[in-house]
Amino acid sequence: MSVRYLARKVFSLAVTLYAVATFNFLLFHVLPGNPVRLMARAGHLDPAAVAQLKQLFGLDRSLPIQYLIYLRDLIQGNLGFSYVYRQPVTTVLGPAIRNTILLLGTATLLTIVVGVGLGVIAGARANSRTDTSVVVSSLVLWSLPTFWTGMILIFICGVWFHLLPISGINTLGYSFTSLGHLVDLGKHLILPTLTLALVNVAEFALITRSSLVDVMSEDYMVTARAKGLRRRVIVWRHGVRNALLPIVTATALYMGLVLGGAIQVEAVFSWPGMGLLSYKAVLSRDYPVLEASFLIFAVAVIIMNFASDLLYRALDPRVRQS
Amino acid sequence: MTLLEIKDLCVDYTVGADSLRAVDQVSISVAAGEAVGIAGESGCGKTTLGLAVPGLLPANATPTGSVQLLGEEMIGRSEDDLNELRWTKVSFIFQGAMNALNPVHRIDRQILEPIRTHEPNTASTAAKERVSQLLELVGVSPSRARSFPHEFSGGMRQRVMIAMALACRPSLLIADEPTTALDVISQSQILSLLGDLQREQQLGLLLISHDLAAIRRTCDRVVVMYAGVVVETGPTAVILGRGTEQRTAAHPYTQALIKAHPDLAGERVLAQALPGHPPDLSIPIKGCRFYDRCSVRESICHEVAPTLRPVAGTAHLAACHLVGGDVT
Repeated sequence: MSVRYLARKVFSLAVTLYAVATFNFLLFHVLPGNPVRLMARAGHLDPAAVAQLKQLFGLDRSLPIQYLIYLRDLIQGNLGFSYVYRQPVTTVLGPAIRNTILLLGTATLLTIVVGVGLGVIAGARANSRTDTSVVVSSLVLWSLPTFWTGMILIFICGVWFHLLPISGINTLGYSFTSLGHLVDLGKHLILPTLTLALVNVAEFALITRSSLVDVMSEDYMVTARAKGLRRRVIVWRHGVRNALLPIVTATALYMGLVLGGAIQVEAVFSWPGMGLLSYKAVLSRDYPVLEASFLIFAVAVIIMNFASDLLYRALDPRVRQS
Repeated sequence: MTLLEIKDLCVDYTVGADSLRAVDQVSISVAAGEAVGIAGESGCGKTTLGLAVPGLLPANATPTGSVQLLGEEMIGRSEDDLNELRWTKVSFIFQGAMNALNPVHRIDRQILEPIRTHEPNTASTAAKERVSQLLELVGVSPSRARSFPHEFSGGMRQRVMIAMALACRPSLLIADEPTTALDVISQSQILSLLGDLQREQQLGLLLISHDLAAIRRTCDRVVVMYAGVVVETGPTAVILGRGTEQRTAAHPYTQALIKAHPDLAGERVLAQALPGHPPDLSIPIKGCRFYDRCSVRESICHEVAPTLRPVAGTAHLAACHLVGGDVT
């Protein structure tokens, strides 16, 4: 039963990934612009040179053949060659992915812990003063655009008070011990993480709160009270446990948004991750890098959705049945 | 010995700036091992009364008066002190259709939970053994202990609820519409089960129901409530009649309730609906609360609120100017 479910899920995951890869291929072939011209960066080009470039990048083949080659390369883990960096795309992507995972991982952890925590505090005492202040401040934070929050934080923490580094991932020109290096990295991480987390904490707090408020009025919550359980047990074991279901869904949706937010935040803080990389790739029409970034973003969102499906199933016995 | 002694209980709900007295000066007692039914239409304060006993009223409700359970005053008790009595002395069974079991936890865990909370010294194996016994007692196979609530039918869920209610061997069981929204077969089975358990285990039972037949089957005494007050109380056999006995409900409201129920055993007459609805309690009522709907009202009923007076003997009381005492 469970194995069959998993097999079905993995199959649909594979189909989705294939569709995304195909769409990704088509997208960059229907976009206007001539890659050869862009590579040469010159108006006049020797037809022999054009032919050579086309051959080098396989652009002389027919579209279906190019598609097959693309798929073959993809399976082999070959994402092409960057026009700008003059390096294999995989080499360029490696550190960028690592840096983005570091940034998004920290921000997501912070978001979920603080957001859900605040939501529980507010939702368990609906309409109390604490609840109202959490809701109001969350609404304010939620309405702040990420890039704007980032710039304001840079202004306050970096420019006025010189508290924290505002750009990049390491202080340039210094050599650190390994511990010192980590501390330096941590300092650089604070502002971008905070920028990303602020808006998302607000969202999670609001979702958690409203979900918990709904659950708190359920009949089984009265049962839990009637059983003489301690308030903490009632709120967490019976309340939050049930309120988690919408939160898991929200987390999957959040992944898509946070990747978009990462592009803005990385651009504002010059954080050398996927966001900054794709931002630069757009500016310099570095198609192979863009293609690869698109693919990776899409794969990340799909995998997160897959994970949340599995988690939802683990959390809600009623879903397991159908 | 008196198990539950409710004296002059009032419950006021605050909604915005308005206040509403849902239960007004109600006194009820339940002896150990006795089954008492509370009858009345929806909105008569039955559920509020039930919830007030273990202190489960919503935050906007204020109870005053006295509720004593085994000599312990429940009103004004702190939540922690209430928790010591909840489920160990008084358990609650909620309406059959309600989502009273937590959908994400297996039923054995939900039955174990109060045992673990109130008897932390009970060994894990002994506690699990008790869960199996409880399930067997209510007619659920212990092999289904690892199931989730949604895997049971409504009637089975209510059986699980009853098993859970008995987990810490309480002295009093409050059942609020335990058979409502179940099919008739399940209703009958659940009522038999409740009745049997009550007799076998010498449980005090407070059965809250609009279904007079359910009360007639299981309860020794009946309390009829209307608009937050007790209008009639007495032995079930006397008021509702059991078997061939003549029923002698005294209050016009009780009589109307009985007429509104089709009787399978008696004459074949069409059940008569009682027109109208209970009064709005946010507006003060001077006279009898049933005045507007009463078919035998007199002028005094509009002016003076009736009090409970003996109808016949000391056990049967009714609050009606036209019953018992001097006025006929």
